[in-house]
Amino acid sequence: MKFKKYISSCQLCMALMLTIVSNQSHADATLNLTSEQWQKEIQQRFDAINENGEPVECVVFVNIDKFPYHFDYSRLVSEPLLMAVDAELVDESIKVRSHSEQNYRYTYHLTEKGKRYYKAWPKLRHSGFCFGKVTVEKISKTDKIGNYVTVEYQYKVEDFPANIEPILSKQNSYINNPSRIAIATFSLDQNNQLYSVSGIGLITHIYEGWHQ
Amino acid sequence: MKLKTLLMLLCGLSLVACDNNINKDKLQSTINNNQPLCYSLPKEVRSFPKDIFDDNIGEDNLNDELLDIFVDLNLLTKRKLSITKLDGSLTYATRYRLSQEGKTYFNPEKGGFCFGKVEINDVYNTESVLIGYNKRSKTSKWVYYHYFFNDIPDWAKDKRLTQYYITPLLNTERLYDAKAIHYQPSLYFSSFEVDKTPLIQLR
Repeated sequence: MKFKKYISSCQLCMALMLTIVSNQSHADATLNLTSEQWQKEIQQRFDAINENGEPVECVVFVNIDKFPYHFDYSRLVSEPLLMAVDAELVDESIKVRSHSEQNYRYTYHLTEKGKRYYKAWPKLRHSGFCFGKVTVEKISKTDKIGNYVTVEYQYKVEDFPANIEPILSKQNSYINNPSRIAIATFSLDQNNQLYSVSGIGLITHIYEGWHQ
Repeated sequence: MKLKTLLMLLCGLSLVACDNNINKDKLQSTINNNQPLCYSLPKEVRSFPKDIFDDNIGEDNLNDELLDIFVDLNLLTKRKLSITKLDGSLTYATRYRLSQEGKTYFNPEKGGFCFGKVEINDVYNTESVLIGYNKRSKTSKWVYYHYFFNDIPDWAKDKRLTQYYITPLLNTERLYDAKAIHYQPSLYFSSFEVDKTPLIQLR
C-alpha cells in the first residue's frame, strides 16, 4: 500500500509511471499468465525505468538542472547537495571571486562515481541520482477481478553506493529494508495489450528548497 | 449594603471559578505546539549549513564560540574548508552542519534546537477574564495551572549554555506556575491561548 502512496504522491513519479505504462509488453495479450510469466512482466517493467534496467530509488534536486552547478552566495549552500558531496557523487570547490567584496563562487562537479548514478530529467529541469537494482524474486498471489489482475510479488533492491544513507532519508528507503512485497495491477488496453495500472514504480526523494 | 452586594458578587464569581471543566488534553496540545523550550541561535547563524569565513570578520565570527558548544554537544558538525584566492593562495572557512542528532532537535521556525516537554501537572483555578471596569467576559476565562519539565536531554543541561542563555531550572521535579486563556464562544468551539514568550532567552 505504501508503494501506491509513493507513486501517487508526486508528479515526477507519475511522469515516470507513464513511460513505464506506455512501454507495453509484447507478451501474450491475455491476463491468464503463469507466475513465471508475471514475474518476467514485472521485472521487465522495473528494467524499463532506464536503459541499464536498474535504479528504482532516486534523489531529485528540483533546483539543479545540470552539473557542473554553481552559485555565488554562501547562503545557497544546501544540505542535500552536501550529502551528495559526502557520498562522493559530487565534488565541491570554493573560490574567491573578487578582491573588493567577500564574494565566493561555489562549484559542484560530478565525480566519476557520481556520473555512474547521475540522472537528468531535462523537461522538468531537474537532475539527481538513481540507485538500486531490482530483482523480482517470487509471485506470491494473483487474483483476477473483471478486466484487472492483481499480482502480489516479492522483490529485493540492492547495490547502493557507500555513505548514501543520509540523502535517502526523506522516504522509507530500500537501503534499510531491501526486501519488499508489493501488489501490481494489470489490465488490457483497447489493443488488447497488457499494461500495468499501478504498483510498479520508483521511490523518489525530492529536494526542493535549500535547507532540508 | 455595599459590602453585602460585593460579597454576593464574589460568591457568584467563585461559582464560576469553581467550574473546573477544562479540557487538559487540549491545553496540553496547545502547549506542545508552542514549543517553548528552545536554544534559539543568534540571527546570523540560524540556518545550516553555515560557512564562516576566516577573512570575513563580521557578526558571523562572533558566534563561533557558541556554535562550538553545539559541536561539542554533537548537534552540529564542523569542518575546515579551504578556499582558493585570486592569486592562487588559500584562505579558510569553517563549515557548520547539523548532525544526525542535531536534525532531530533543530526547528527552523525557532532558529534553534528545541527539546523536552512542558507538561501540565494540574489546573488549579479558573477565572473569567475582566474586559473593562467591572465587566467580565462570557466567552473567555483565565486558566491557572502548574507545569513541570519532562524528557530533558542531557545535552540541554550543559552548564556552558548558561553563559549564553537565560534558562529556567531544567529539572523535572520543580513545578512552575502559568496561565492560559480559554476561549469558548459556543458549545461547539473552544480554544486555548498560551503565553508565547520563549522560556529560554539569549543573553
